[in-house]
Amino acid sequence: MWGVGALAFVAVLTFLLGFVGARKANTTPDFLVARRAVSTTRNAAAISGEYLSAASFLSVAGLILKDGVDALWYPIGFTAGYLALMLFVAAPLRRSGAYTLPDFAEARLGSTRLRHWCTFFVVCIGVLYLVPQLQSAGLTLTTATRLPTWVGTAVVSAVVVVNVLGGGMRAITLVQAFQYWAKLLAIAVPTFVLFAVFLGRPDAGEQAQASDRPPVLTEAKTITLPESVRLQVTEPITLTVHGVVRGEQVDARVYWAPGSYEVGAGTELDFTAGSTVPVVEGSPTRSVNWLTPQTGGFNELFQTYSLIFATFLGTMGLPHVLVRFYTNPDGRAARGTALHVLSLLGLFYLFPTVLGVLSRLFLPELLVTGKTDTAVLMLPEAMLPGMAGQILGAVVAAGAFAAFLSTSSGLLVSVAGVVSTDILRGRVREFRWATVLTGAVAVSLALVLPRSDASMTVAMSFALAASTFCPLLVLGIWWRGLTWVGAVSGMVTGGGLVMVAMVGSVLSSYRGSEPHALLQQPALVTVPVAFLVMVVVSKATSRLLPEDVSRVLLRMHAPDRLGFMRDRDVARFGTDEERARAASGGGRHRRLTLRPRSRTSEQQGDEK
Amino acid sequence: MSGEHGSTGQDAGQPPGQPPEHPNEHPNDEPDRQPAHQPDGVWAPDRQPPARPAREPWQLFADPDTPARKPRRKRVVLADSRRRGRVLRTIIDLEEQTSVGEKLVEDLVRTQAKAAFGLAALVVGALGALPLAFYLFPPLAEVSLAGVRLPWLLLAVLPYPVLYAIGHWYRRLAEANEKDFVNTVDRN
Repeated sequence: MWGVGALAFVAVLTFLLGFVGARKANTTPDFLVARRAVSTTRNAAAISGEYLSAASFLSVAGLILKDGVDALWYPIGFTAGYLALMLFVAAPLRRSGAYTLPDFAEARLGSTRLRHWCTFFVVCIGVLYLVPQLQSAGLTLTTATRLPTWVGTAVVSAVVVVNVLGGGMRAITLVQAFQYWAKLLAIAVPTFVLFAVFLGRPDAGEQAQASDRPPVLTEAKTITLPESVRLQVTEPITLTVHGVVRGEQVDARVYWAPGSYEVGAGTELDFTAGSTVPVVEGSPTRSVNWLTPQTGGFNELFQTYSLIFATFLGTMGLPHVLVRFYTNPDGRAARGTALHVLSLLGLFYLFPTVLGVLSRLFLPELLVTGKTDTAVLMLPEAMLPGMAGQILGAVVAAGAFAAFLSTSSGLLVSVAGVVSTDILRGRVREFRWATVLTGAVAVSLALVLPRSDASMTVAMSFALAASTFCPLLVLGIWWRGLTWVGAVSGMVTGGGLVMVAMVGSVLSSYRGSEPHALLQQPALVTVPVAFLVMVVVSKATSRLLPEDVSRVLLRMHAPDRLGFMRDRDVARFGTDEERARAASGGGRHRRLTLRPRSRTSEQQGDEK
Repeated sequence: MSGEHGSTGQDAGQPPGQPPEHPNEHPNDEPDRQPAHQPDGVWAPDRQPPARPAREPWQLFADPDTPARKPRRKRVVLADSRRRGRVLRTIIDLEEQTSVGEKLVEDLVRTQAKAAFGLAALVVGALGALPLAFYLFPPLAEVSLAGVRLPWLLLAVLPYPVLYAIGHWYRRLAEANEKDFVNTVDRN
């Protein structure tokens, strides 16, 4: 009940803010880059709001519940990615004057073929990122309200599409900035309350201690498995089972010796109080392994480094993150925005960590079902029975809902912007068509594809971004030797390898075996390969070096006050006011108009 | 068109905002009301003094020894917004890069790259060493400070202030580099 109210509140507020923001949006630059006039603080909040997706809000805590201290690399990587973005990309990218990632590629290397490849990868990454958001929305709604999963997916998609249709980037900036603070509040308040509850319990100290045993259920519990899982038992337990175990129908009290058990969907497991919990295969079973880093041997070390690679370098290649940097007025503001984002993200990620640790103590049954993504949503009611728990649960659900809304809006705007300007003609009407099209594709994929941990899918899209756009951006901004052939070959090689790994990992999970570490987390190999291919092929095709490379480098690196920056969206689409200047001044655009806007000037511009 | 760009030597002493020398020959300050066929930045010696002479960035890229420095030529800037237009023309001029300009851009890119890659190496060195350290020296994970195990402190809390501090440092470095570049441009 409370849950429905909270979700409705967030949806209505989002809709209203979107409406307020959309009132003034009517030109293509409004829809693509919010006229490049967003202030640093608001932009930073909007970026953080958009970036803290389902993966951050739900999965980080879930992964900590499951994998322990090693899962902390996810939030570290998500934050450090912004530092990499700030160091290598933020200011030069803004000064390039591009309005989408493919546009940057064309501005730098002057090739439309490269532009089309970039479009392809933007759409791939965008959809790959959008699908888990929509699926998690369904999950949240089911957990909070018991409605069927598809309702949540449909509701989130509808709110997002309507908002983006109304005002594009201009509308969602305010919405996303609001949603950052909504999310921070929705996770900070429950964390403080639940932590206080935890400290108030008499057995607080004992439970937190490291032991060589698997986690223990404090009270008797019946767990129904929503889908089939492979459970690992390390200590013999007795329990009552109704359902299918290892392919046989069981309806009795059974004794499970240590080993691996395949349990079918819909099976009911009755545990007595004090019994240890069997854990989904692939996660640490003993508490001491959970508490200690790097206990999984070389494979786990490889995966950790690969994750670091993917998240540190992938953030700068995410189209929905980059497109927000184009909304800054100039390069200096872009740098300031990135720095501000670092502080906002660092503040946020303290809370899911605490909730993840608490859920290990209070929600061990999630280790049996493997649905650890719901930990944050279920923790309040598990720790605080009664009204207080329900209200806190509703607050968390509202925050999660805000997370899906803001991330999906950002992704939708960036993908629709690219589709409308590169495949269609880029006017406002086409932007709207592209929005509907992208939304429809994403919703149908979200309903059809099976759900996995949002963080896993998101980590894959980070790997894809790190292996395609990261080399393009870093080399394009810092190395004058890059050619468009080199850029295309590098991107196709890197992106292709990641896609192969994705397919391989899906196939091997269908066969029921744990995929190889390299398939699960390929970035450590694919990113260096992509860089290498880009450099080698560029050297081999150095006769294709763009003639204006010095000019473009100057524009990207020259301080803002020298006035070399030139906005390409204005040059291409122009507004009434700017069209005049585009005609008389060759596309120069300053935010502050130095001469009064008058009918004469516009007419004159049009005549030219 | 581009010939007049280096020709501001004589104007250098005129402060901005000075009233026009020949007010009568100078019917309006409003560039928008000029006839449409008049190309902007046209060379018109006695209309208006320059708005901000000798500080234009593009002068840097002009060859100091060209006839552009001849004192009898006079460059005229019609209004502030026109000045912006001139910078644009300089960008076009930059396509025929002079060696001085190219060298300066290269230096700027190099110093900025040094700052960015240096700090990135610092972060990767510090954070990237942690998994290997935990892998090679398991006893490290047993240490606890104030009841919390060291790995949890190192991974859950510490990275965020460190990342912010490095970001802050980079912003200072990058902006100092840019200031240096602007100063070099001004000196030229």
